[in-house]
Amino acid sequence: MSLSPINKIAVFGDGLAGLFAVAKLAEILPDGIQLIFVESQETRQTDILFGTVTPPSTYDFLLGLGIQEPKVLTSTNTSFSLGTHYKKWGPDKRNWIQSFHRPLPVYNGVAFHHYLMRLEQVSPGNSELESYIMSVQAARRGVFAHPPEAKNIPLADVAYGYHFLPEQWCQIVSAKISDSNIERIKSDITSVARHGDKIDSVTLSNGQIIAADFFVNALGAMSKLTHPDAESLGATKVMRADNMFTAYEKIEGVCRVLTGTESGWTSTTPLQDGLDHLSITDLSAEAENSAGKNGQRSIEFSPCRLKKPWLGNCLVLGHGAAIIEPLTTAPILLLQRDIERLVELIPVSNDMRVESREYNRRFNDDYDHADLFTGAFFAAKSDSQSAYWNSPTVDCSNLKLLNKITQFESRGINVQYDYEPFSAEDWTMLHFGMGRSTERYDPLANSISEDLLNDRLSQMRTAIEIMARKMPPHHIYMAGLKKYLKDKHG
Amino acid sequence: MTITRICILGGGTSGWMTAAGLSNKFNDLGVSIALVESDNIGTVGVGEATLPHIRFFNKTLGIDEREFMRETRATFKLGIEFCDWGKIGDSYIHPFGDYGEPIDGIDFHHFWLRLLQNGHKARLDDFSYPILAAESGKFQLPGPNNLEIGSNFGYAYQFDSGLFAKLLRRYSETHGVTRTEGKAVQTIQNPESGLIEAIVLEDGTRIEADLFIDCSGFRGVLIEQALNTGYEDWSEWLPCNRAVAVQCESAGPSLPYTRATARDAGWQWRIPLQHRTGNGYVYWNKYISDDEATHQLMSTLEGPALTEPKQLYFKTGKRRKLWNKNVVSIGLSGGFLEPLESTSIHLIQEGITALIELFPDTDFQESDAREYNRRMDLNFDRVRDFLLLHYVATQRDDTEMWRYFRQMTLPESLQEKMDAWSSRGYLLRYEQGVFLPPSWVAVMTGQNLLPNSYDPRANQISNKVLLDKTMAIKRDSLAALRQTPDHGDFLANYIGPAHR
Ligand SMILES: Cc1cc2nc3c(=O)[nH]c(=O)nc-3n(C[C@H](O)[C@H](O)[C@H](O)COP(=O)(O)OP(=O)(O)OC[C@H]3O[C@@H](n4cnc5c(N)ncnc54)[C@H](O)[C@@H]3O)c2cc1C
Repeated sequence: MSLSPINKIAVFGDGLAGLFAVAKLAEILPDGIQLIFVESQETRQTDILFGTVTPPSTYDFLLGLGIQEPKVLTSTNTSFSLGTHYKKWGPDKRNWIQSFHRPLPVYNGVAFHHYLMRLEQVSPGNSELESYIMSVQAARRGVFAHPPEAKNIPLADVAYGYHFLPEQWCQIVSAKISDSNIERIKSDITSVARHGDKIDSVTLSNGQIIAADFFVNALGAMSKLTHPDAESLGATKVMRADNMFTAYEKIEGVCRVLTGTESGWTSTTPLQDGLDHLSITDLSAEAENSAGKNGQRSIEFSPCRLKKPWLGNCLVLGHGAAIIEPLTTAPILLLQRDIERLVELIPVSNDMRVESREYNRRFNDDYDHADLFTGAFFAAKSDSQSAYWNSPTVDCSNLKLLNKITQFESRGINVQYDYEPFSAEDWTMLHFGMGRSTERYDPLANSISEDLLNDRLSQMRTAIEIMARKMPPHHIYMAGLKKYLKDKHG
Repeated sequence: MTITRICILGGGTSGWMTAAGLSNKFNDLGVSIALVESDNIGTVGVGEATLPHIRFFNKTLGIDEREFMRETRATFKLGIEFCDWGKIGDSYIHPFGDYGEPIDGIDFHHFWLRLLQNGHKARLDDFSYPILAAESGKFQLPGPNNLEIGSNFGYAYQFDSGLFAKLLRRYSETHGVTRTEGKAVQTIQNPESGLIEAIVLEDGTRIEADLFIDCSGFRGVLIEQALNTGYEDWSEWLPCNRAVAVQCESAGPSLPYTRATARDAGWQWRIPLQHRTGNGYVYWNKYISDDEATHQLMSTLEGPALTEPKQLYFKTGKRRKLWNKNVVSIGLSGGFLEPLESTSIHLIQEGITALIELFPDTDFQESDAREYNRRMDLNFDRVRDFLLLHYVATQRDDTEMWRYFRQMTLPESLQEKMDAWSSRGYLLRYEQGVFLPPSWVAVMTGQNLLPNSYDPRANQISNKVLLDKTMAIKRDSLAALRQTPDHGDFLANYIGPAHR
């Protein structure tokens, strides 16, 4: 075979997606492949749709870009996140904390929640899950500490993500890129020369012509780089995101608080120096199209995604490929996955059929699976007239989703598909949070006596409570940690 | 209502494995388990090579490994040696373990490909301790640190399936399973629901139950003869449809692996046990007669035959619904994939595990069966693709059968995998399924399907670092090998003097 290897990759777009991609590629590309970064100005405004909460996997993801946690904490207003507290959610006005947590214990081969379900049948209403989840209890009290290596204390089960502002992360990633000698060009696109699915070159407003073997288009939804015939799914709904920041003295809380409204939701995220307010409104559900308040940034968007984000020699990354409502950590989780997927599939020649097919397959799997999770926030009978609650952006009649819900409701089982972005714990917490009860539980959960079970559970609750009492409030922990980092590194 | 009566029809490997697995779980929960088997009909009498998962099955039951090996005359299995598959004269071992170790998070085979494509003569097998051990007839149990070379591999067994069933029968009976001898001649179905209410034996005995597990072998007495569930025929992809099996005396040292040799119209297995060797020829009767197959088998035995050759007939595929109404089919009644990768017993185990997790109530909610069937279908589909890979990743075109495979249009799921591999050594992964990426690497490289390129990230490290790292892995593997005793000696020591 005489396929020429690729020599040049060009990444367009200076939003979070483009910056992540460049930083990651800079870390892993071998010497033979040149990387060009074209920073166009048009993209950052939709970055608020990445949301403000990251999953625990972001710690490793950032490490993979060469960015360590201390750097993030000291040069941005990033804070720790134990999850999201959902309030007045859905038609039943549910209220629960969806936290990050390592797997719950398994006794005698039976998943933990089956024991709670057993007790629920004995005395209904007495089997809430939250008392057994360390990270929820810490979130309730607004306390935080890093989980230790040692496995035998409740704190070790905590997992954490971050509260962050995309624009601040853009800055540290951009600074990181400056450390490597990547060619950076600040200019916008004037025209694109293509034949068929293939892009030959891109002409910039500064007159420069960029020819590359492979293009990464992180320019957002309206980009000239996106193939004019690219098919997309969704895009039936118009929503508005309103965003605002209010400063405070000390960090309040350790999870995002997200409250359902008549036509969407509104959230506050505690950062080091203030609260980020983000509201999502379904415009078709709004009685009158209320304009954003003073001091707010507002954008309109339509949740949607491309069927084939990778076409020919161009991959669309970020909001040009998919926009999802930042109700969960999905937007940032999926962006991370997009980049990891790209890195595993850096083309080896100008024939990119294998790479694009595989990328698109995994992309669709991941977004479908994330949609299942989002769908489970809505799959409750609603008598509301609001279009937000009645016709969510994800398909709630999807068979895979119905299978998951039916299995949980009928016997407390979490059906898993290949490489789902959300874990069994995430699902269990969500089902409990949504008030899904189960008809049956694993009969093997009956193999210990009720007294013994109650003993065990009460021990567990107590251990968690004692731990939570010992943990410092988020702001004190953060102040101590930053002081330590400063003393150590200057 | 909860199920209180289970009837298992069939006392072959699947019947007794199911009885043991269920009695272990449900013995204390007021569930009665009855097993019916017919000595006259007997069992299929083959199925002696396993996958590492069997160890978890035994462990869950609390069966002691030494006792188990003594009783079933078992040997250790490090993998399967495939002869004459890629082309005549080739051979490779598919081990239960990884090749080398990832470097900077990138699978080792990419670095090996880099060496190869830059003109180094490196054998991937040299980076696999279980292959090296198998090649030199050595074995020892993996140590506790599974990151260490010499400990990061899996192993399975080769055993006498009749003796295994016997052991499980004893286990089951002490856990409350009642066994009835007799041939089921009639099934009583509820006229409305179609659920099976009872089976009637030749002597008139009537056995009622809420849940029936069909372990009656190829016949599928309940799932097919009674419920007419239907069969998905996969002979288009896996056309071998007959086998002839025979046991013979072993010659030479006891080997810790199974052998599968490709033949003109199928392939032949060799499974070494402590006291004898199992052999069989799996073939497509379109291209070879039964007599000729038997003749070829008998003329390649390593020692005198101990049994009469036994003829077996089958059709690859699976039941349209492995769980239908109140019947769950486990074992050959549920489906059959040729034993090229010793998957049948594993699929039995998967069936038992899924049944326990999805254990129904007397109202038999459709959702339970649907989820069970979804999982098992996925298992079967994925094994099918992996088996088919052996027949199509080959240069062989020397007989009609091999030419048939060369002309075949592959299932898309397999074609995609092979394309991604061939172009860049990329492996399409899945989470649910038996064969993990290293298995795919083993078969594809073993059968000369070599990628044109590799992950560009593997170029990040310098030549010197690469050579140092690979040398170190090889050195460690060889060092571990030197510490490893002969399989026969290890086994004798491990299980005590009763052996042989
Ligand atoms: C050629 C060949 C090679 C194989 N090699 C391997 C291998 O290496 N590894 C592996 O994992 N698997 C292998 N298998 C598969 C393996 O043999 C089977 O999965 C395993 O033996 C289970 O069989 P079974 O119990 O389902 O059926 P059987 O062994 O056929 O048992 C059926 C049982 O049902 C009873 N029965 C049937 N009808 C009635 C009736 N009407 N009334 C009462 N009782 C009845 C019979 O008496 C018997 O007890 C191989 C299969 C074949 C055909």
